[in-house]
Amino acid sequence: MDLNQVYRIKQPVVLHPFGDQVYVIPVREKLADMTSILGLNATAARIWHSLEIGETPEQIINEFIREYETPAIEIRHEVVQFLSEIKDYLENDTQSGRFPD
Amino acid sequence: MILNLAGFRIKILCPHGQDTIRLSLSHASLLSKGPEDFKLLVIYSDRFLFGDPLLHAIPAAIDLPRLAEGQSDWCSKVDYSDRRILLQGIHPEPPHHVVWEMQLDPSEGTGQLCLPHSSRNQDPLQYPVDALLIFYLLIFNTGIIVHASGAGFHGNCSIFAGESGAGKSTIARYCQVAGARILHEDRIVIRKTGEQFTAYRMPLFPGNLPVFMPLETIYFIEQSDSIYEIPLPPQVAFEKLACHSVQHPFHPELVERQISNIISIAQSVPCYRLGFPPDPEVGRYLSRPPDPGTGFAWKPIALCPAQKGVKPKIPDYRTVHDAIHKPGH
Repeated sequence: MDLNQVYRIKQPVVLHPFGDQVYVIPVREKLADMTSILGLNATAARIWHSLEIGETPEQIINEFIREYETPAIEIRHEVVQFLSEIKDYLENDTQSGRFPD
Repeated sequence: MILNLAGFRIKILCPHGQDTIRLSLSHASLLSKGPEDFKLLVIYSDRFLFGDPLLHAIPAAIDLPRLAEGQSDWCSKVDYSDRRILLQGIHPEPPHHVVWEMQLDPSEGTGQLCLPHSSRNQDPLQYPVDALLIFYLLIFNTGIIVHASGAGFHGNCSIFAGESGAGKSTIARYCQVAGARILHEDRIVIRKTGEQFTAYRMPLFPGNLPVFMPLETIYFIEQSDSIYEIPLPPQVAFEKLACHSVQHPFHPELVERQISNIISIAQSVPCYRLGFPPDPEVGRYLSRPPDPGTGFAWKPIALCPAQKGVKPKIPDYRTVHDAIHKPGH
């Protein structure tokens, strides 16, 4: 995937915090789909929020590298892995439609 | 007249000079009395209640079992403005496909149901009007409808939520054999009453009487070679309960309300995974009174296979992203 692209959340969702997680409830065909809720911990929720405000994956990775002691390659791997897990929610800002593999 | 719909006493009113309401067998058994919780004005008119077409067309997701797959193409039109819920749909069942419109103001406790003159001899609250009325009143009264069976021992109710085919009806009948009273085999209404939650029978079938019991335990059932129960933390219970709740909210505020209701239940009612084999023994097991001598909230874990850990259905990103550590952690 192109880490310098802006990816937007394409699907309507409702975010709801509970405990140490933020739950993502997708809205499909105008109805909430609670069989597909997604739980995000603080780090994942921060990545989600960064995407919502238009940051590229590369910018998100660099923020984590500056902030954490974890090796950069590990941070990059974790962020990319998370993005691939939520790819159904994302679309490329310039190529409307599918999330590139 | 007043109907008891899953604990909500609905006063059905007709404008002066119009016919009285005809009830089907499904609702005649729910006639009640006492102070009403909600007033529903039934208007027979060939003019539409709503001047403008409603914004959203959605599938009718309250998929009650008596509706066949082939009827899934009918839908409701919905809107939500100024805390009023606007619904428009078609009765799916014969003899007539009657168009109905309903406006609900749950915070005011009032609503209007508009039907054509030609439907005067039919029950105005026939499905899905009754189910939608219950669903939206629950959203504003800390409640949900759950795909679950329910059975009560010692005056308290346990409900058994699970996928289709998991054994909801089977375990309810095993409990019945062991002396329990069945609340329902497929749909249970959970609603906050005072400081506790109460389970109500969802009125689906002709002759159903309004029955309710204090809700003691929520079990998420699974088939197993032996009986075991595993307590669930509130977050896991929330995730599972959300999966099994009837879902019809179409507006972000309504979604938020339903999520808050589910969280409130998951935090207040003990929830367990319950494995059981196809054996009536599980009914006898559940009929035991609570054991105050154990450290568990309800009763001891019987047999807990090592491979059956507490595992949430959705990915747990704590595991993935805990690899990223704060300095000094």
